[in-house]
Amino acid sequence: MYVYDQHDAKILSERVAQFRGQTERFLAGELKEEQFLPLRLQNGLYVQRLAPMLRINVPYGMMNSTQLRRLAHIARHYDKGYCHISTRQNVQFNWPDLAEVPDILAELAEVGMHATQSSGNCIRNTTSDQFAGIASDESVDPRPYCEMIRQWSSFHPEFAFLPRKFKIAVTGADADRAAIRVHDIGLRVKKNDAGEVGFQVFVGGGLGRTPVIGQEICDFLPENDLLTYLEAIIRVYNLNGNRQNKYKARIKILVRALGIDTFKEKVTAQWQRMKDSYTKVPGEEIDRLKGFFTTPAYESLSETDSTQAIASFAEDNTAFKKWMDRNTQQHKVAGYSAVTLSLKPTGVAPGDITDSQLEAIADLADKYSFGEVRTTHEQNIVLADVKTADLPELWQALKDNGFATPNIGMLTDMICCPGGDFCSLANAKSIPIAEDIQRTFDDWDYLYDLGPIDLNLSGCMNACGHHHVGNIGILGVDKKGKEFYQVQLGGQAGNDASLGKVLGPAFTREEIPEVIKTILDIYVNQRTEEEHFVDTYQRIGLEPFKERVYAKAN
Amino acid sequence: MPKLINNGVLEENVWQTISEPTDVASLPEGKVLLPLAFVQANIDEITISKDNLGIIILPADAAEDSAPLLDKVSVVAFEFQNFMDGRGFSQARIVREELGFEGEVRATGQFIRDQLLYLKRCGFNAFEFGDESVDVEAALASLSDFTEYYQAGVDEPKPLYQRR
Ligand code: HEM
Ligand code: SF4
Repeated sequence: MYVYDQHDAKILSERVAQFRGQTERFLAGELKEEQFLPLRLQNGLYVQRLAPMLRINVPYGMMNSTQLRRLAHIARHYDKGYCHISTRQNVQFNWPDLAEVPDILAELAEVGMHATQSSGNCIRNTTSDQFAGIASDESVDPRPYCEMIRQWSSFHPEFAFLPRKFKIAVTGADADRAAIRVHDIGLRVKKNDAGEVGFQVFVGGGLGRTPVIGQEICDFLPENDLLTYLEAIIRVYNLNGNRQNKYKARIKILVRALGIDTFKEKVTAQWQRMKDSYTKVPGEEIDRLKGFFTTPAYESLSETDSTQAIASFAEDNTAFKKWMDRNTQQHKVAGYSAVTLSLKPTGVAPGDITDSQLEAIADLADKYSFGEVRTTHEQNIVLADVKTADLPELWQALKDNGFATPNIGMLTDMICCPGGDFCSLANAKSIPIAEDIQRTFDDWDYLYDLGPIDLNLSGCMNACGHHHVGNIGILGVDKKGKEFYQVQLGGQAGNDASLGKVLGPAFTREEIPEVIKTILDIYVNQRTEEEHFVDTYQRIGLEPFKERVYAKAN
Repeated sequence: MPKLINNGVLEENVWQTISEPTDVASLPEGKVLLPLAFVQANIDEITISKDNLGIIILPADAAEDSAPLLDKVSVVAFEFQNFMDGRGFSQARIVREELGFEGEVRATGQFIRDQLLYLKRCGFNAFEFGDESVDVEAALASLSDFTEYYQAGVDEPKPLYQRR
């Protein structure tokens, strides 16, 4: 994991001092509300329905146990004892006091954490694959490049007042777990036939009101050119993006208006003028960054021995077996597994986590996983380097702390935004709908039989809950002051990224569980063996679902 | 006359901004800042010496268009009409880094104190606040909010890793 040196620490403490001064000037009436707004946003601070919301960056989802303990401390002392894992791998506090935010940021800075550019019209925290560096389907570890982007984009003087926010995601694996096609820029790091590292670059993806799947702008960009190329894209966007209408201001709208070919011409022309600037990254720096992401001190273990060691436990213990099937993932190193801690037990807002749970995870990370964890954009937490032989013991500990719900990738492992309970932009509540669904679908055999299904839920068209790319997407809408829910089917976030199609008129909250049930029944009846929900949907289309759901409703 | 921050110190602003000049004949004496489009259109008639001539680039202008004029002016000013509009940051880098302009690069209009350092990093060396109520002396402090930077800028072209 990247370790801050005195330079990083200095920059961060200067940032804290700067924001402390700005907050004081605001509270003293010297800085106007509209001037303070972008400054506080770029320090992670939204003002929400009930209180401010503070979003802390977790760079590409990596955290160590010291940082987790500090988050626990902040949750306890400055907030209401819990925080929230966001769909971009970040951490959010829902109840901080504005005057205390500089203190919180100072506490975070001590452990190398910050909220810099976690919101506002600037380059946001770069996200990645939660299994980066350990996945067996990975060709290049994306994390050194994520760190390269983090450093370059942090306090970037040219791009702090873009037309709109700007999000970058990077993957290095065959299966895209970072949703790169729904980012402003999506990067796939890979090797060419000559063994050189480079990037396939997608641009203009995004969700929100106008969901768009990103398009390829470059099929192989040499690694040294990454930053100059990003700078060229963002400069073209900064100069040409729409500044009149914030709903048309994202880069996706510009790319669509110009067409990918014209947009690419502009970027190429800009890039030609800057590609050999100081921003071009030399190989030595890439090597230096790679040096931070070396493999931990794995023991040399045998995969068969490790599996055998837990085989009898698994045989006697079906609950453990189910958990292992769902919540653990193959690791590229023999004898190790990656474990996903579910933050989606029924009755807890998806992604919420308490102070003592954070501390428990820190202890488990120290004991079982080299003191590190990762957050996922599905709002869960991963212990990435657990000895397979330790799984039974770890499972017990996870059960005791409420993390062992065996539902990773299942219907009840939903992505869900804060919605009307917290968010002032919401059209409708979302957390209670998630809970209704979890309560309705509580039969594990049924859930397992259904197989993997992404159900994503947003409380308004801003789409924080990624509903467009859920296999089943639920969107809160407002009809004459009442909360309704529109259902979409067929979205996907990975390699075959696609946007869901609206089923038809929206439903009431009470109708939703039954509607989902009907949709699932159709899938179960129509599926061929081995077909996942999306596959069946793609084969049979929207019609059969529509017919049955609305036939029933009438 | 309003105060100007020039290369980190306070100065009187000796330049007149002529936002809507009608014709070359009616331009005043002394140092003038004229819109890019006007200077482009009238370049053959304008006889103002380089020391007394500057151009104003608006957010919607293409900064590259100033290229043929840069050896005839001593100031390039970028007008900020709204501090949230960050086009001037990119435009200034184009003029500085791509077109190699070495004279005064001035921010005018509605930028705010908290942007000074980033503006400086993009190549601005003079700041003329459009808002008269700004305490320019206090604002100077914001120029040193940071002393270390990750990425290349006009003021410090070497990225941080070259100093680690
Ligand atoms: C509670 C306060 C929140 C507010 C006011 C808020 C506001 C917004 C807005 C206005 C957008 C649309 C931006 C655009 O289309 O340009 C957006 C998008 C988004 N937000 Fe939030 N959000 C909040 C919380 C969250 C949370 C808790 C998460 C994660 C769980 C989240 C993750 C996202 C994501 C992933 C997007 C989609 C980005 C895209 O359009 O590409 N937000 N948010
Ligand atoms: S999707 Fe809408 S309701 Fe949900 S958090 Fe985002 S802005 Fe709020």
